[in-house]
Amino acid sequence: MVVDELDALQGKFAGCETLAFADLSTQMILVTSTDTSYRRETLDILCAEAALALGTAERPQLGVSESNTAFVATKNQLRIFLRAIEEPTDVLCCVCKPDVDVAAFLSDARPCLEKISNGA
Amino acid sequence: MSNTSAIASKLAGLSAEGGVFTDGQRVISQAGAPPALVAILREIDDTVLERTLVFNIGKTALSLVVAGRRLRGLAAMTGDIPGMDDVVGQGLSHEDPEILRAAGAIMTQICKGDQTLTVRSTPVRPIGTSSEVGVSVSVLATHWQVDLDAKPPSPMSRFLAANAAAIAASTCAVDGNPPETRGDTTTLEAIWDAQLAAFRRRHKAILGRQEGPTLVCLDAALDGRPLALAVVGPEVCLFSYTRAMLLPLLASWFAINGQP
Repeated sequence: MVVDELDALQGKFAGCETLAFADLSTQMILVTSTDTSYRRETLDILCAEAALALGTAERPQLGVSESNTAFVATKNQLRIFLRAIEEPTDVLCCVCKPDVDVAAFLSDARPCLEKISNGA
Repeated sequence: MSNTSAIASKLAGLSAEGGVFTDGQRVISQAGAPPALVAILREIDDTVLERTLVFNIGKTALSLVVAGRRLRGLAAMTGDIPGMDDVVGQGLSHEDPEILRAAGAIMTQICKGDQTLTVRSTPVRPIGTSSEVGVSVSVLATHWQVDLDAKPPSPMSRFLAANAAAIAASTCAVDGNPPETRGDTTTLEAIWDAQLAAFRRRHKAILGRQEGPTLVCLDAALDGRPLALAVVGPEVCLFSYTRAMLLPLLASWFAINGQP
C-alpha cells in the first residue's frame, strides 16, 4: 500500500512533517502521510509549488533543463520535491523541519518514490 | 545626554524590545548579526543595576559582573581560552591596561565565528574591590577596537560570503537595481532576463503571501548542473553552485535566516 510506504518513511525521520505523493499532470495530491492536519488547499499549494519548481522537460520554469530534485528553504521549513525517474509526472512532496537529516532522508525517499511510482 | 536621560532611553528601549528566547535565554546575536562582541557590549551598556550577565556562545559560558553600564570584570568562564586564568576573578579598571587588554583578547577569541549568543541576567557575584567602578562601554570599545555603530552586512551578503567557495557564478540585485555579477554569468543572465520575474510572480501567486526569505535549489537546471535562487527582502540572487555543497548551503541558509 502506498500509504504504508509513506507512513514508514515519515515515521523514520523525526524532521519530516508531511509526505504527499502527487501527479503533476493533473496537479493532484494522491496520497499523504502527515503529522499535521493540513487543509486540502494547503496540499494543493504544495503540489503547485512542486510543479513550478520541477518544471517539465519541455518547459523548465527556472533554468534551461528540468530538475528531478528541488528544495525550497524558508525561515523555518524545508520543502523537498522529488520527481520519479521512470514516470516524470509522479512526484513526492516533502515538508520538513530545518533540522531534518537531508542526506539520510534523500537516500530513503528516492527509492521510496521509485517503488511507489513503479507500483511495487 | 545626561545620565538620567541615558538611563530613561535605555529603559524605554528595553521595554520596547521584542526578544527571541531559546531555553529561557535571550538570543542577542545570531549568525553574526550583530557581531557577538558588539552584542555583549550593548548588553553591558543596557545594564544599570548591579548584575551578573551570563553569556553562552558555543560551548563557552561567560559570567560578567556589570553595574552602572560598566563592566566590572569576568567572574567566571568555562572552556580553555589561553590567558583566562589571569583575567577571571580580576576587577577591571582603567588603571590596569594589561588586564583590560587581556580581557579584550579573551572576549575576541570567544566571539570568533557566527555562533548564536544568548544572555541571562542573574544576581550579582562580587568581584574585585568595592571601590572599583568598572570600565564604560565606550572605553572598552576603544581598547578592544570594536565599532559599535558598524552597520552589519545584510543576511544575503552573509549567506553569499559564507558560501563563496560553493558558488561558481552569481548575479545579484537589490530592489530592481542593475545586477552585479561574479564568475561566468552568461546563462544566469539569460535566465534572469527571460524567466526570473515570471517565476517569482508565479511562486508568490501560489503561496498567496510573501513567505519571507526563500531559497530555491534545483539540482540540474543548468544543463545538468545545479541552480539556486535566493530572495531575502529586496535582495535577489541567482547562482550556480557545486552539487556536493548543497547540504552546507542549506545549513548556512537556516543558520542565517532561520528562527532560533
